[in-house]
Amino acid sequence: MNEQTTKDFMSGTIGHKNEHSQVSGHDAARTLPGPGPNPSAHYTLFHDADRCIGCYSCEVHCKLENEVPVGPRLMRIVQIGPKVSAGKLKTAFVAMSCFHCQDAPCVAVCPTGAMHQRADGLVNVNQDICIGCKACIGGCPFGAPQYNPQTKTVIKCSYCTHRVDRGLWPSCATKCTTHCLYFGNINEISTIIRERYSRQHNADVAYLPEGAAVTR
Amino acid sequence: MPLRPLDESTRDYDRVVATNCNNQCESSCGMLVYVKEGRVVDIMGDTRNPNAYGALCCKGTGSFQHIYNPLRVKYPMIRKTLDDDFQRVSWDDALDFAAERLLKVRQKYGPEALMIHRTGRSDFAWKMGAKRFAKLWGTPNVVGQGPICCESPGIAGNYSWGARELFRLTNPTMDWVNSDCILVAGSNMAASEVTTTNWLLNAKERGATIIVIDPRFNSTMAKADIAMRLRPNTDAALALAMIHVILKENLQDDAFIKENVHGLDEWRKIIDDMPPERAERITWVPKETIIEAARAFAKAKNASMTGCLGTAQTYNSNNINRTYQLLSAITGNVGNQGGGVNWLHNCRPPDHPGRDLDSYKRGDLDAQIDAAAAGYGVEGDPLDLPNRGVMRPPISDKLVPWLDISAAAFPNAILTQKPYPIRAVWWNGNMLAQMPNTNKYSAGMKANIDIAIHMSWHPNFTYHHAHVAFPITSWVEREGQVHHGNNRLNQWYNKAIDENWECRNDIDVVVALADRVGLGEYFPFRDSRNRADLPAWVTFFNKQDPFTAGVTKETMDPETTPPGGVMWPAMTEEDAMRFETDDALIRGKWIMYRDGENYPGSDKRFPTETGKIECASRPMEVLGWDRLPQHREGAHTAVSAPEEFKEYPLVLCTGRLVSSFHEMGHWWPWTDELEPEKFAQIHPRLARALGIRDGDVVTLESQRAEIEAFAWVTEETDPREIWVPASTDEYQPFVPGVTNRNVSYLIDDIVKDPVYNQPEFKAQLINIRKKGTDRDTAIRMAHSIVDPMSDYPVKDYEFGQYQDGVAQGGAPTWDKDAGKVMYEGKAYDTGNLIEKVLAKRHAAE
Repeated sequence: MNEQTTKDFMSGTIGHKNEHSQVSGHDAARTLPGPGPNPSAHYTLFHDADRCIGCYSCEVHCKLENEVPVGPRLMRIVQIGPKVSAGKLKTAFVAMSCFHCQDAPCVAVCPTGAMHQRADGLVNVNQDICIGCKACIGGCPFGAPQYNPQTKTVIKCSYCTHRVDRGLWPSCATKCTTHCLYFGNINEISTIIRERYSRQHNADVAYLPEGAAVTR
Repeated sequence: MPLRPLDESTRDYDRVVATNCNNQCESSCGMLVYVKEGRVVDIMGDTRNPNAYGALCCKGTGSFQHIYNPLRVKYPMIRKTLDDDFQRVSWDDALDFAAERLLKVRQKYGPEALMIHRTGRSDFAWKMGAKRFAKLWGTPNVVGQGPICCESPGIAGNYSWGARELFRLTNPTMDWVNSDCILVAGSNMAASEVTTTNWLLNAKERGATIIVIDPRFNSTMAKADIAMRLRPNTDAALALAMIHVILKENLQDDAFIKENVHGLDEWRKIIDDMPPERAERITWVPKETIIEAARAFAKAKNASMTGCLGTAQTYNSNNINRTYQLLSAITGNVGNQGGGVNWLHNCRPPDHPGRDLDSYKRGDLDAQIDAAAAGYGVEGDPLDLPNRGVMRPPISDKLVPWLDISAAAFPNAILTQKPYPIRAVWWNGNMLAQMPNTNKYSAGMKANIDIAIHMSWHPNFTYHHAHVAFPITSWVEREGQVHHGNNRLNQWYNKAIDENWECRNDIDVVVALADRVGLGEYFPFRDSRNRADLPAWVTFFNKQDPFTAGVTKETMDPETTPPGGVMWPAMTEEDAMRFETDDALIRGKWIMYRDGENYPGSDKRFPTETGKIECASRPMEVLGWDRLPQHREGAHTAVSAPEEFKEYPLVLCTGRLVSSFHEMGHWWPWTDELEPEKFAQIHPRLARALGIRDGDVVTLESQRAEIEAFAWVTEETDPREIWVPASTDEYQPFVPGVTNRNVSYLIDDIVKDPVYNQPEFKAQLINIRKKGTDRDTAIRMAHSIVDPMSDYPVKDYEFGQYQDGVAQGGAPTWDKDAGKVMYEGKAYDTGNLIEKVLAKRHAAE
């Protein structure tokens, strides 16, 4: 058997080589053909704070999907509180991954062009030319870029570009425990919010008995 | 075209196995395991699963690191004494070693000297197979998770609503969207039943009022409309006060009560004695909040309630749960959509290890085992023992005589060897680190156990107290049943890859040991390798009880049947394949106790003595417990133990973090990375007084032991209370800086809930100080904060007995200075604590 050393394991190395291959086998028909970068897309990861319970699962989904070792955390859930607010205790959970800014400061400060923006707005790092100077980590106001101690380069949330290119949501949103993460074109997201508001005001119709319809 | 949240992997794979997450929490999420050339390459949630809809929590995805974890126990290991180092041997040698020692114990001390303990995370086949082995062997000391985990609510419901064995969950979580109000008591489901929380949020989104009752302001309470942070073990006072308000304001369901509730008038005197004003001072919850919650629950058209371990692991557990169940009944939330009492965890059906066992004669079995013993050259004959022919009763002193025996009785019994010797232990998981008064248990293992068999995943604390360790397969290396899932679920998990290293299934150990002790013929279902045939065993065990007679691999397998499993009772395979009603999302029995319908297998809707839901319970009275549910103060509080309170002024409560479920999660770097700083919760006000800052190393001390922890300064907890996550273990990697010793060291193993012997994991007395600072000063400062708020108006009839038949007074104690357990003037060493192992390792270097 292809054994993994304890040292590698403790550092979070995944233990086998993965190739992001063409979709095959199970349910290939359910996956849409890869559109590649879609210039008209304006992707966003919408975090519904009302539903987030701070379970950190998205962080681990990301670790497995993107083979991230211990140390860098591309997605991060931050707990604020509990603190007394208007006489009551309140706790908030904030999802901090990467906002894939239109005018991205990390791209501006990158000296090699490794940090780049695709036509569809996704901001990614070209691992082949990143020199690990960390300028982007300081340049980002949200702390999104992370340093990978194994490759000695910067990695960051890519919105799982390889999944997006196959018509799939990023891993964090796909497996989110409470379905508080949504992914899509910004105008699709606003539709989801509108639909949810409408459902809440027609609860008797909208919530019975189709469980799956509640969140998606 | 919008993008889709599909469960498709983008990795290169050649096979997908539809299966279920297994043996972590009991939300039982559907899972797809992607395999390439016999190796797991990805794990996704199964979007077809109606319970979780493709969601997985950090442990579900993180369990990827369980499969090939190089830290796992890979080969059979044996050693003669706990002081020796483990030696790798063949399976046959390890089995022979274990069998010979078991037979020696049997011939010298009798069959009852073997204790078998199956954890709550056990595989179904091992659980039932071990029970079968115990019956054939002749020991009654076969322990399940029940009285150490959370079966008390199920027991309570048996005496209030009525049930066959455990009452647990009437309406599945997927029905919660029909509730207008949901009361959550003692369950931080956001951390312990993560994906189940989804249904709470769905109900909230639809407009339901969420009431959360818990000793701390946790992530679940953060979602509440009405949050009640109460003193541990005072739920009965709180729920009684709610009922008080409901009856006073005439909000009860009179028609339902008249028809279906027995003894409410008799109960009135206790209800009248708990107005919200008195409850406020007992429970820490403001009376206005109690009144608001009572009104919200009673006025809701459909109101349901759910909970978990919080209402189980306390002294007054039985009354607490009966009171909640009766609150549901008097508001008429019985058998309706969006109603019911839906406790999570351990929703297990009645089980039986084989009706055929009744037909075997003890004498024949003994003769077979004696012959096997002779084959091993084991001398002695249990026939010479005075008890021969009459099985000694199990070591258990709970009032309810049926179902599991008292797990927490064994730390004391093994060290004292009373009431009779226990010399052999056979268990799995990491039970030893979880058991109350761990020092005592560890010392007992070292002093008195001749053979400890561990079914190992990880080299944990329990492994380090074993003589034999068998490497056990993970859930993707075998198939079997995920049993006692929330929602009364029985599900199937499929084998995705071959066994790693030399791992085998738990039940293979049972079968192979049975072969060696002369009992092999009673374990007939084998495969071509002479190992246990898992589907055959699962079917066999399920067929032993009518409630699960329809539950087989064929009706559960998510590869071939609608995913989600089967809800018991399912009397036939047709039942198991049928969606009971139009709104049912899972097959089997959807909602229990419906109007106009009898309880399965009964001629009554409520299978109690009176045929009604009982406020006044004669069977409880006969057992020697409260006929009418009432508040009872726990054994360790400011008013019930004033002497102890002087030195230990703070309430200790325990629970779970989201990143682990017992040992699962603690051995994986990705999950261990998530919240290593979260340990001992201390309120900022108390922390300031004691000079403790977030992240400081603190010492927690109870009458029984001291442990170290990182301080987590947060307003989640009350200033009078310290909360600590359970299930850490000093042998686990990844959490440096403190010993990482489990909080169970601090917990009392003697005084337990008298009805079902649940140890008081939720309510102990401790003190806390920054490591190295003055103890007396810390105690004095804590008192200055706690004392003005610790005057509880508890009446005489609300105290308990706080005595235990086994060992009160003569029980072993922990000598902190000597670091030894003292009993009858003799000092006992603890077993292999990590300091000793490290010292030995350093000496060898």
